[in-house]
Amino acid sequence: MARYAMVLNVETCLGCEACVAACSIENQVPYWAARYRTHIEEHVYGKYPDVGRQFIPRLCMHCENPPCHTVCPTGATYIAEGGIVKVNQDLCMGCGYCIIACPYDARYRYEREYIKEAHGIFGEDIAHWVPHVDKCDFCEHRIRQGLEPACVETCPTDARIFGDLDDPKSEVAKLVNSGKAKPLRPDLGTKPKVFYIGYKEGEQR
Amino acid sequence: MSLVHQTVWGWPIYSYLFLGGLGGACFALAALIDLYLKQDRRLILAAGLSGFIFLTIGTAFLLYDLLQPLKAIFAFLHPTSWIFWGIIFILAYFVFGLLYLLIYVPLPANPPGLPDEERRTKLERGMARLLRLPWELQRWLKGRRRPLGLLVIIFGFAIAIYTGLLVSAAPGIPFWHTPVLPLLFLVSAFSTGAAYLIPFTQLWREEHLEGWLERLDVVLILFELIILGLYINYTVYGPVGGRASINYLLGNLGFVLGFLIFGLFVPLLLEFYSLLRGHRMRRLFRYTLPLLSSLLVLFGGFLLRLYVLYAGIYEFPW
Repeated sequence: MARYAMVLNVETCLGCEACVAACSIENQVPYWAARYRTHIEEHVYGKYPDVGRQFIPRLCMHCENPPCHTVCPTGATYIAEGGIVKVNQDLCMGCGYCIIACPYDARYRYEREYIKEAHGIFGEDIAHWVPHVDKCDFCEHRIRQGLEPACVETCPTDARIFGDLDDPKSEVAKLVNSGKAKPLRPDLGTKPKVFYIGYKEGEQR
Repeated sequence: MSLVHQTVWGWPIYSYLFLGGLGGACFALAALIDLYLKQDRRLILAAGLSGFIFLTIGTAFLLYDLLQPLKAIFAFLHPTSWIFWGIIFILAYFVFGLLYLLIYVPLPANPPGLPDEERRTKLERGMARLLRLPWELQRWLKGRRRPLGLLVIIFGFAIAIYTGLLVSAAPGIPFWHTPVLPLLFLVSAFSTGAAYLIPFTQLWREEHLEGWLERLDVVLILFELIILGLYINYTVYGPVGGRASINYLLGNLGFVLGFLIFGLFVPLLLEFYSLLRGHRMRRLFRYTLPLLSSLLVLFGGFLLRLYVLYAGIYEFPW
């Protein structure tokens, strides 16, 4: 079985947000209400005069030990094939416990009014038909067709690398196994499957 | 790193946490008094009915907060969630609590109808048996008062501690994700439960309690202060988010004045005073002072949940 993962290269990310746009259209994310499955955070590190700025793309970490899954009372949050953490929108009652439990801000409520708006924008072919909690699913529908997630495909600087951790020859596995790419907040024990190259501690702007 | 206040859980949830803790604790305390101090019909009926009302309102708030309230029927499917256990505890509380209350529901001395020897037809005899059912059920339940009372105590306690466990399962919010938060909510729940029952025992002049509830509430408030002190001591070092939460609380007039001063210290002093000097106070004060301190404790318990939820600060890595 595959173990899908993503490596984000903070050193090459320009902060152009093409990934945010691609994801929003691909997954019908309510961008008009500033809710996203993936987003770019701006980050300042160092002390004057040695300061720098980083763009940190963030998305669901698809943890191997996801707290959102632990706290979900209905089982709407489940771990799909390939270790992808998904939400079954027909089962989700929208209590928001998973949003509280997620230490990576990966989830948001897909409110009832967003569905109406989405109808106007995307027509009849709607991806979210009931209010629920929504999150990144690594574009599972694209992976099944042999494609990369929309954010990865669209990234102009190859700051996003997608692959299978169980395949030692994949670029992702090499970067992670060599220790070059590291997870965020490993101390929480969530075992994230999204890794960062060149991430520096800093303050949000 | 960024520190972000949570905005997911608002007034329906903190009201639910308060009402759940209060309802669970006041019925559990009444059952404790009933089983181990003195059998007390009025107190059990008052505490049980109030507990049911509190938990019904609280659960209604929780359902109101859901995006899809009807799908709450699916909340039984994943036992690693505290919400799953909360629903189990609340259901068990209602079932065993109702049976326990039925023991004390006042019934007329005798079932209606004629004596058995005057009955002729089978239908008449059957009807009579049906009419006698409530009396027989009550007699059957009376023989099981102890186990039922114990179950009410256990599930009332479970609901009270569950309200804290629910909130503490958030690894991204360091202020919540500590073992003392469930303890704080538990102690506060029993403190509000005792405060809720005190005016009833005053009104009915339950002398046999000898101020047991007042004494208990004083001890619980002292415990609350100790837990808060331990908490502040812990966050002097440790996660940045936890420190931010404590700074937010200690810099907030509503928390300091509303909860710490008027929700803990003032009722503590009032209860202490009426325990020591109660018998020498004028009649007017003997009843109004405990009522005032009870209202303050209840108000403080509500503010505690409110401010703990407001002080939920995520510690995001970016």
